[in-house]
Amino acid sequence: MQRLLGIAVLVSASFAFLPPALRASGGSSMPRPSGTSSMPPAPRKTPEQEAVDHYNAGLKYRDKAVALQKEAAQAGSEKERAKLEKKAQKEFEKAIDELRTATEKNPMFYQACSDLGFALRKTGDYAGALEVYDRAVSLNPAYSPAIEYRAEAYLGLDRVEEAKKAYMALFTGDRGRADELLQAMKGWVEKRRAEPGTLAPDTVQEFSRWVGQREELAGQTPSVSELQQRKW
Amino acid sequence: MTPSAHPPPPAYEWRLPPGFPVPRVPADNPMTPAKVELGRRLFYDRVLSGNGTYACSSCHRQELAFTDGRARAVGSTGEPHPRGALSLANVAYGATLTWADPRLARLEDQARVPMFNEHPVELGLSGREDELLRRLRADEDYPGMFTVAFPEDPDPVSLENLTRAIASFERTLISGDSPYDRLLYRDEAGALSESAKRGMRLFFSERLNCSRCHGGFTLSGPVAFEGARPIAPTFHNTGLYNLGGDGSYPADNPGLFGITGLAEDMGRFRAPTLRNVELTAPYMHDGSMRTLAEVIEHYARGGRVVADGPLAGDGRDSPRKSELIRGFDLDERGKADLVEFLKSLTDRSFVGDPRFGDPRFAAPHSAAPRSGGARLTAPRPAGPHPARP
Ligand code: HEC
Ligand code: HEC
Repeated sequence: MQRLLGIAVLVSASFAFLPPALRASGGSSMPRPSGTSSMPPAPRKTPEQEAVDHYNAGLKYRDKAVALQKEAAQAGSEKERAKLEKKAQKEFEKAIDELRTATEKNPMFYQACSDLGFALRKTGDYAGALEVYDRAVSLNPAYSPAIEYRAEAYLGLDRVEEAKKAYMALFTGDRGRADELLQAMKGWVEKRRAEPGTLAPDTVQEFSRWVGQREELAGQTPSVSELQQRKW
Repeated sequence: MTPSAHPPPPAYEWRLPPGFPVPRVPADNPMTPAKVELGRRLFYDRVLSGNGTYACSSCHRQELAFTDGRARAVGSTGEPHPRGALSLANVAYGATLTWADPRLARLEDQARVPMFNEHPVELGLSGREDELLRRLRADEDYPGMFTVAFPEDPDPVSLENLTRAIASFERTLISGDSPYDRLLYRDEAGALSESAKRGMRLFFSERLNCSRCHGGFTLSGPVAFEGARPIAPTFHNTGLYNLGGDGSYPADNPGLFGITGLAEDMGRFRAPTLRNVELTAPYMHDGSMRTLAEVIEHYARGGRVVADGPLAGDGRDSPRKSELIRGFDLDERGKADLVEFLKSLTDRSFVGDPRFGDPRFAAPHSAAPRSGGARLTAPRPAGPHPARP
């Protein structure tokens, strides 16, 4: 929390570099009213405003891709599944183009970095994903989605120690994200048990034990915010 | 730092342990290092008692996690208090203060109680407010310290500012470096012994229910902090007494009932923090249990039996007892494990932290304005922080 506070200062300091249009929205995506014919021609967009447009377009493709993947998971036949999965990959690629443009137009756009990382990871480009997650986290060290997604990219690269560190950071800052990451970790354990690749079996075993212990600790100790909801 | 008139105080640097939220601070008393320093000095100063023999620290001793080691506190004139001194560890987060008062929520307000209480007398300052202020104004250091702590106040040496400073100091008394914290928040798997880990499982189990009342990061009743939703204070009757079979508690300690007058509130007390509980014996509001083993025996039985005398009665049968106190079977090993876990809540760095100790044992502090986030004091020389057996 203290860490978060320090970060809030850091983030607001970095906002000082942003143009007012984006500063007002906290640098996040915000739908912009489109000009109508009865209005005077819209002034030329700043690069930051263009970045927002590309970001929003990228998210649309991403959402479509995610929906297609869900459909693929429930597909009746292997052929159908493969077809849907391929379609999803196409959408992810479009998302990547848009999001990458957004990060180029506005290099401070940490949300775009984080979402670009997600799309890259979904297409199997873990190294590329890591690179942009690193950027997102260095732009805003409190941005827990990037911390979590980056950890999942670490898992994809079998870098379990780094994933563990990320879990601990989320555990104190954002328990919901920490829980999500723990689920992903369990998925990793199962996958690596089935196909260990170059990993030593001990590594998987050791990590699995760690996940079990952290799961028990998490179950025992609700986060402070959850405590406020409990009734007795 | 620019010597401009009254720059707004810089954001206070809390240095909180991982997992701890930012404490709630009243808008009219923002944290500043100068106030904390003044409050600390006052906390340890006997000038705060009518007869010059007592300070807050007489009943709240750092080496005992800011309790006094007595079953019930004793005031500056020797008058006994009906209840035991509470630990001040993490008191900044208390949703309510003291053993059973739902109205008392601000440390600024609470600090007046021991100063001006007449039933019982604690610091014995009632009716001697002017004398206290005169003493403070005549002191070598205080006028300067008050001026630095309250630069906007033309007459800074006041009772209001005094309680503000003490409250500011109290809010810094944060304890979150126990072996339990190191396991939970720092991923040090070896911080707890195997026995303590088994005890932890028991503590958080539905069978024992301990964490239903001693919960959250403070292992206490409800907490308040920056950004938290307000929560109703809670008080429980744990079946310590059952006088006359109707669940009554001794007349000098009826708990929440003493304030609300509602029959259902008889014997209800706040669940205190279990952090540092190893150091805070004897236990319960009246210090009527000497050891942790005794406390666990009481919970396992589902209420305490007092065999004879004026307090005779079986708490297990109390109609006022919380439904969470149901009793449980636990073998000797389980009981020992639970005690081991409770001991893993001891924060040695908290009870030895020179920032929380008596400033007279520290390097002399200057009354000059401090820059934001300044260290509170130089470390005190190898000094007395006796570890309890
Ligand atoms: C005579 C011993 C004594 C002295 C002196 C004393 N206290 Fe206490 N303190 C107690 C007792 C006893 C309680 C519990 C009171 C109750 O429940 O009614 C308590 C409770 C508290 C609490 C509530 C803690 C919690 O967790 O709710 C705070 C805060 C506190 N004291 C601060 C102070 C300060 C500040 C001073 C000096 C101005 C002070 N005390 C002086 C005995 C003392
Ligand atoms: C129904 C809520 C509730 C449950 C369940 C509960 N406690 Fe308590 N606990 C309290 C209250 C309230 C007090 C203070 C009671 C009093 O003084 O009358 C207390 C006091 C204590 C104390 C003494 C603390 C001190 O500083 O004096 C210890 C130790 C303790 N509990 C441990 C436990 C353990 C271990 C368990 C599980 C076996 C447990 N508690 C279950 C509410 C609860």
